[in-house]
Amino acid sequence: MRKKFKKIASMLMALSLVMAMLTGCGGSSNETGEVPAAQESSDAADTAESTDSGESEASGGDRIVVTMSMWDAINEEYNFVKAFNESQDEIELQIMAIPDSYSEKINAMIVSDTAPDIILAWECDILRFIEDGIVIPLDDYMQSSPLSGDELVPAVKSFTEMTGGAYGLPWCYAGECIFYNKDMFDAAKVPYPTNDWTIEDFKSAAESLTIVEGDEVVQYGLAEFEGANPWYSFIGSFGDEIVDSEGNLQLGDGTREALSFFKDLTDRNVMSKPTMASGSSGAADLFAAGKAAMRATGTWNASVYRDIDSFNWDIAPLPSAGQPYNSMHTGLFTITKNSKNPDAAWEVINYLLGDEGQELIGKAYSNMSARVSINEKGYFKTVGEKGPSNMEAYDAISSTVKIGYVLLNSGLANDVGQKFNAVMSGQLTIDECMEQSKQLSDELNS
Amino acid sequence: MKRMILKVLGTLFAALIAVIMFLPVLIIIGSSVKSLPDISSYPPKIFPENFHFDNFVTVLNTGNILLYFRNTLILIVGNVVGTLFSSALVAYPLARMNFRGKNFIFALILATMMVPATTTIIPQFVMFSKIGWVDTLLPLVVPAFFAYPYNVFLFRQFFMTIPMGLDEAARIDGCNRFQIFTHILVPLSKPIFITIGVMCMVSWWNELFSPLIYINSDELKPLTVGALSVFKAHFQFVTMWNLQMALALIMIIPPILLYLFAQEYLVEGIKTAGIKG
Amino acid sequence: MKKRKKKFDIVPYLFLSPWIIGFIAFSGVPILASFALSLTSWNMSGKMKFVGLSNFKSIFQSGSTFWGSLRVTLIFTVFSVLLTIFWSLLMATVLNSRIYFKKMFQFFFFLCAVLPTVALGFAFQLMLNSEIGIINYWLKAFLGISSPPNWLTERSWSLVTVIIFTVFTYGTGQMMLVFSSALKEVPRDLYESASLDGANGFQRYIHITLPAISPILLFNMVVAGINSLNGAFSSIYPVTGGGPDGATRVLSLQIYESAFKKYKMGIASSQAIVLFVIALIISLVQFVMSKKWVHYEN
Repeated sequence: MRKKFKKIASMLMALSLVMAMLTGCGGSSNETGEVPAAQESSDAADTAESTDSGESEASGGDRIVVTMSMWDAINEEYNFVKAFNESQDEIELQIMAIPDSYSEKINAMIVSDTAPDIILAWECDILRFIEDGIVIPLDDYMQSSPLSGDELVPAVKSFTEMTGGAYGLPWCYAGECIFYNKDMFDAAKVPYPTNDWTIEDFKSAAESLTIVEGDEVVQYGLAEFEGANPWYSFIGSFGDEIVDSEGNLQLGDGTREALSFFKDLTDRNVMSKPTMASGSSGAADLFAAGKAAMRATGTWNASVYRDIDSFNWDIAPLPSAGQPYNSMHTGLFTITKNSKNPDAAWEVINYLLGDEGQELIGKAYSNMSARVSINEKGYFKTVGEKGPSNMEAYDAISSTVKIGYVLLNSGLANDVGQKFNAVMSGQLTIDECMEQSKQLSDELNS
Repeated sequence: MKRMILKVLGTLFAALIAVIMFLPVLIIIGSSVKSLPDISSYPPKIFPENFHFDNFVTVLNTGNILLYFRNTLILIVGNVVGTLFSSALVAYPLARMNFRGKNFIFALILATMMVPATTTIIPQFVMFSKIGWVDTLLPLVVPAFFAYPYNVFLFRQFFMTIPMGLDEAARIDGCNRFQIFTHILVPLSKPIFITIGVMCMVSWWNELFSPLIYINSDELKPLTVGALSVFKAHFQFVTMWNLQMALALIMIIPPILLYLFAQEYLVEGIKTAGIKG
Repeated sequence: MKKRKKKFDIVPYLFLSPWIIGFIAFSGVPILASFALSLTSWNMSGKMKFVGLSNFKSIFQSGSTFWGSLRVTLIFTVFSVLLTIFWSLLMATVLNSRIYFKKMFQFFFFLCAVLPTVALGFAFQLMLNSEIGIINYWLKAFLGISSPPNWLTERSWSLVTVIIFTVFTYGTGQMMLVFSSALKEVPRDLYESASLDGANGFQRYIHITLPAISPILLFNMVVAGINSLNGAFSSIYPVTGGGPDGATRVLSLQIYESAFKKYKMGIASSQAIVLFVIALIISLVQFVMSKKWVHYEN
């Protein structure tokens, strides 16, 4: 017994030693919850970098620290944080990365007064932020920015008008599109999609691209929709309003038509059945795996798919089912009320919306700029070895984007998206889906 | 002869159960050395043709994984130290002293064991957010220093088995009650300290709910929470299942080792908790 | 009985003080606060508003998501208790019968109990995937089932999936060990007299072993009930996240979503109160039944 005890005690010792080593590099900063080791190491990298470029000033220390939250990872190749920190020596921008449950976590930070200076806010949150006085108006600052006049793209501008003042400025924006496997189209001798194709063209293409051997589907025409994502665009295209002027969910006949359209495709195995229980946690990307010819999803996936090396692919606008519609996705730079350095925070925003910042952001995430003149330069059109080449698709997308479902509470949008998918897997009838979605929306507003 | 056949049959049946229970682990091991296309290849195989051991290197170099690991270790050490110290202290009078309200307090402790964490999470969250502890490791560690009911119960059960005569003898030698605790009880109770320590390690290695609520910064996440999103976040909506599985394999090794080395303490502890009511 | 006047002794309470503080701060006050919050409408960042009992009225409205969640909780609790009791007893029995390599089998049987549910959840998601999962492939290839269930996206199957998953969690391992030691304590002579009567193995098991361990069986059932309320979040969240479409959204997940995804703190608190009451009922059941097994043991 004693011997055993010693053995375990020494294990415990070893463990705590390892831990001491690991914490050693993080310093004692975790007590206060300040951003620890990762930040320090990137600081070190920054310092090294600035020495290389001939600047003798060490970073950190006397600089004003501005924190900003975002959900995306920083792309090392187009690192706008580093670029900003090197562009001047007054302000140090630090990123709070929240890759998961962004909306929830931001809310938790606000409640506990630990919100960053700049929140890159989601559309669904910003209205609440404005109402609860969490973010400050930026109109005064904007006088000196490149964003005045007709520089903002129309969809973004109408959103700013809707919020009754400039509380948030879009960092970039994206729509949704069809990614398609060119090789599969070639093999099936199906003509490539045009930029004004209709839902009927789309349907017949998907049908021709489906290959069934025995009772095994070898190739799907269309991959499942993950969570809420392309659903609302199609519903809008089938004619529904989706969100009314008070920000409530409005689903009607367009939804019914969209659901029965895709239910038909799913039942005939043209579209793959939903494989995931919840949300957008993509089990296996059938398009990337070369098992589905098309996938409808956000344009930002171009920055993922440009690494594909096994097949040729391209993008096409979403097919129109009557009324061209595309859900706009964006994030808005906001400055929080409790920020100690709102002026410095504005400097950061101003840089990121400036020519340099927008170029890096566009290239990093393959997203369009909310500034007309930047968008014309097409930085988002980064191309991989196998695609995309149809750059006109972006014009079609940007002319149809509307702020829609993104205004809904993200939990609600997601829950309703799951109901749509439940119809696809035969778990709900369309009537049940409509009724339950309405109830979900009512419960949220009660 | 018949006995031996029966024994072989029994063993085969046991093996069948073992395969079922081991299958998820096998899937983790197999998938962790696949490439991403291997994951979605059909027909599915448990092991790929070519082993990609570099997955583990990629995992360890991805994002903040080493920090997640560090955070988990902080949580483990903090909670083990905190709960051993406080729970033993609280169990002492319950096992070896007579005082007013003893039975009531013990009943209350047993009752709080049954309260699901979700019922109190909202007020707790509000409270911690008001004192600025949200997005720090404090709400995950500090409560351990205020005695965890389940562990108090285990300590009490063990202390009850130590003869009271020892306390008497020590008192005659001039020890006060705190000294009796530190000089007599604690040295004799090493096994239960190890048992609870080991159980606490396992449960904090696996803890998901409370860090999910309290931690916002990626740099402060423990492994369990970090693992849920790290391979989605860095690759935007495409889950890198092979890397996810490599991380899962890394996550299951420490509890396996702990089980192998501290098996008897773990098993004893669980049994004590279970039977002696 | 003689009444003894004793001087008030502060020392025991000093030792107890960590628990007393902890109880007040982390259980007592929060539970009371839950009651208070359940009467308000509050999104955490805005103003709090007193709304009386209307939260309860709204969650108990017919057809509400809360009813669905209660139903799921009930099914999940009942079936996961039955399944884990059966499975852990089966494993314990196997470990206590005449087989080779007992130590090794105990390792394999118990192993999953100490592993993170997050890691096991990944494995479940992958092997049960309807397109690329190995389980459905085996069902097709070896058992000839042409259209195997879609384990994660069909409502009823997803509930089956998370119930099966509980077999791989801590509670089952714990119960197996408890059963295992109880089985060892069944007196030998009971069996010997039975084998003289010519009873076969199975009959002996039903008529001697099970009655002998029945107090433990009862005990484990209650423990399993509590476990499935307490541990539901960590065993369901990594596998299905409460989906598809709420089919596996048990109460604790529902509370989490109401509070931290929809910012309905009042609604979430009233749901928490309901969960609290359910846990209270189970505890009372345990309290009443515990008299039985304590009696048996002595």
